[in-house]
Amino acid sequence: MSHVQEPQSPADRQTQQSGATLLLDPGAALLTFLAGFIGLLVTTKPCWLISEALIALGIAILSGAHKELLAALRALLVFLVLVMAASWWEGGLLAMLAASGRVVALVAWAAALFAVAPPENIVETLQLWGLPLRIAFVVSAGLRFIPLIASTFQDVREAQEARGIRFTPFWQHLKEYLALLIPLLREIFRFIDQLAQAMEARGFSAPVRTPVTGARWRIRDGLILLLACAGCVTMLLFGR
Amino acid sequence: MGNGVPLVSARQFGYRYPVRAEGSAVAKWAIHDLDLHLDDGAWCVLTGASGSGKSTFARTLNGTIPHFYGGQIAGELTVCGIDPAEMPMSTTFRHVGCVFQDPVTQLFSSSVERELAFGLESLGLPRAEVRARVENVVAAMGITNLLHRGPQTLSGGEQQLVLLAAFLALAPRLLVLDEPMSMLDERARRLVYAALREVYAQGVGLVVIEHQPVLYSRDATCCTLMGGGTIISQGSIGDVLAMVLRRPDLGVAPSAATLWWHERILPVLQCHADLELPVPMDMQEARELIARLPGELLPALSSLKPRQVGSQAVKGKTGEERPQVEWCHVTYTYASTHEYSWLNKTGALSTTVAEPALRDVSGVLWPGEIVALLGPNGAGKSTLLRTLNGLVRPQQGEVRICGKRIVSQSVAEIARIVGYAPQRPERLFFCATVAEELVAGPRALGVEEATKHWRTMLIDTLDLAPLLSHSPYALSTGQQRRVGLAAALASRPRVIVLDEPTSGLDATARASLVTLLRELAATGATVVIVTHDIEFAAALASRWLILVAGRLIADDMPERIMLNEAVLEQAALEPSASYQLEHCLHQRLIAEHAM
Repeated sequence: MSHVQEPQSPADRQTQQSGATLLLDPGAALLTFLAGFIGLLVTTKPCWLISEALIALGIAILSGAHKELLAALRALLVFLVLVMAASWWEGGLLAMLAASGRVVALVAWAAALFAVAPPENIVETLQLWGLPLRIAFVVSAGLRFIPLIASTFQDVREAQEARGIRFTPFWQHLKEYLALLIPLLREIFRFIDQLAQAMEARGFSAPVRTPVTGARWRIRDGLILLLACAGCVTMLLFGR
Repeated sequence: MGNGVPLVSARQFGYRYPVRAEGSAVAKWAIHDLDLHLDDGAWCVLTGASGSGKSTFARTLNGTIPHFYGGQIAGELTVCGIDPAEMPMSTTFRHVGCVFQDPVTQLFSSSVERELAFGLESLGLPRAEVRARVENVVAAMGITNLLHRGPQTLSGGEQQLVLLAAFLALAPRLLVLDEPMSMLDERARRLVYAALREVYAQGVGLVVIEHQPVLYSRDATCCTLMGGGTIISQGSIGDVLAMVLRRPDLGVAPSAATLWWHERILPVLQCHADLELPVPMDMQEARELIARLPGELLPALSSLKPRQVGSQAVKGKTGEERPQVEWCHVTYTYASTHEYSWLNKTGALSTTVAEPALRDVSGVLWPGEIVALLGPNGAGKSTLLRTLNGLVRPQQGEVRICGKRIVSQSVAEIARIVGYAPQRPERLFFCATVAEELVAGPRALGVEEATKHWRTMLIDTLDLAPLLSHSPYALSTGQQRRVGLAAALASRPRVIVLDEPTSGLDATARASLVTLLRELAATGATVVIVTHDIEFAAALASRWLILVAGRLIADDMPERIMLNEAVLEQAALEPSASYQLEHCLHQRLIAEHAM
């Protein structure tokens, strides 16, 4: 069968349809994320942390990930408040802003990363870099199936409540939480087992695999990565 | 295609799981003395009661057993010329595909396109060929519109289509499917069946596990009946169905058409020993036979009373005039859950569409009624059911149980009067044994002693006595369903809510369920069932509520609804087999009388 034009790869189509305004090669996106993450780790000066948080937020919004970013921050709200309270108690307002800036920046970098490079694209890139598929898949599967686990927890809780088993107030019904944990763990392990069987049934362990995407570095990818690395080095030199 | 190598060749094949059966000195053989031979072009339906070894055997065909489960194998088994136990699954998958029962756990990519490409990547084919094969299979299966959607956002029928396409792309010689039609509405079943025919037409052999073998009567080349871990009978579907008609203990349901003929026509035929008519296997044969019924039979048939569809209407049967359940202008919209959508951009598990799941639904249910909620997938049936026990709280309108508003009550409080059996009751289990599981709910509600006799009745009716000391997780799917039902009903609720109760049940268990639910209704309990099983609904329910896109479009007796073609069309329903055949017989009698 001949083609006038090679069909688009799933990665190209996914990225185009993701609504991302900034398209990057998954490898470049991952390395850019790592540069940002390292910058967060090495910086201790509050002003630099706040600056990086603002830059990360801006990039996440430019990447089209504003909804996801808000959703993630909402989910982490309790944790964020605890961090802010603890750091304010420890070191005052600036310390609080720095600590919360670190959390916000990390979430923003992650949101931007997955906006421009869906998990499977990242897995393929890691494979191309030599990481065994089994390990690379754990990364994307872990992320993709977190909502399913959350949904399972909710289903189990509802099913037990419908039988009359109470879980609130927490301190009065500690023993009943076995009725949550045992089915949940069993469901998770059953799911993992069945998922593994389904993947093996389609040749997951095959010795040779053809990643359908392939590397697609462009000049733009290199420039953005260079910029990210420069930012990281700057923070390393001046942000401590 | 296979150069004479059989698809399946099993000789005295046996398998036992590594876990010891409780109370036994050695583990029980899940499969024993099994002989089966399938050549190219086979479409084999594998049927049998729950626990007969069908799913276990299916897993041996692609090597899942023993590679994942371990255990001991006896005898010989080759599939497409290879021994699945000896070869790694990364080799076996090139020849044999296996679609398990639950599509959700078999779809693990972020888009349908990637799902289809996954297996092809494992073949190590050139990238261009992978993409070309994906395009070919998408065109063959007609799923172009699904290509860029996340598999978890698809309906059950669409997920099955994607799985079939994913395996078809690998061009195996044999495809094994474990109950591919379960949980699907009529429309989805037609789509999946058409896809199976397409797969078969491309030269792939099929082994389909099914509790209702008549679904494949038009195309299957053979049928194998299993029981007790071995093959009891092999032949055509008609041969097997004739056998199960004589042996109801085998746990396989004859077709509704066969049952109708057996109950309505055969007693009349028995008075005319000189007449011999075959027993129809499916609806088409039954219609043809009705058209060919000898004239001398017709006077006797015309004197038969019309068959009652559903149970008797029982409004006020127990003397109570107050409704047991009231829905008053209930409207509900699921909140979109964006919290994790940044993790799965192209395949979100959660919907961002804010369409109401229920729209201004009003209705009343009375004590002693058995009511069926019917409608296409996604109509809101399960949502409406969950308003009864507080798992879903309407944003508008209200729900009353036994005259009281439940908006201020917790789910655990409502559980005293509303018993709920979800679609997957195995998620309820957290105790070490079935006996403990049955007591857990009543104990939490403080009614353990008061409901002791009630639980004994449930155990007897659902045949759970042999399972009481077993772990609920060690049971087969059908057995787990029965235990889940009993656990949901153990507190003797006034309102009983069941979501797809017949899924995974064999014929024997379904018959027990019908008996049980009738007995419960006779005590004054209101029974509400969500089901796709039109025959079950027709046999049991005195009233049908039809939901389409969150709206209640019909609330009436089954006979009246089955006369309404517009409602049936919207709801993707067909009249029950017994209704259609009664109508066909009636038409024949009228025509004969006119002549």
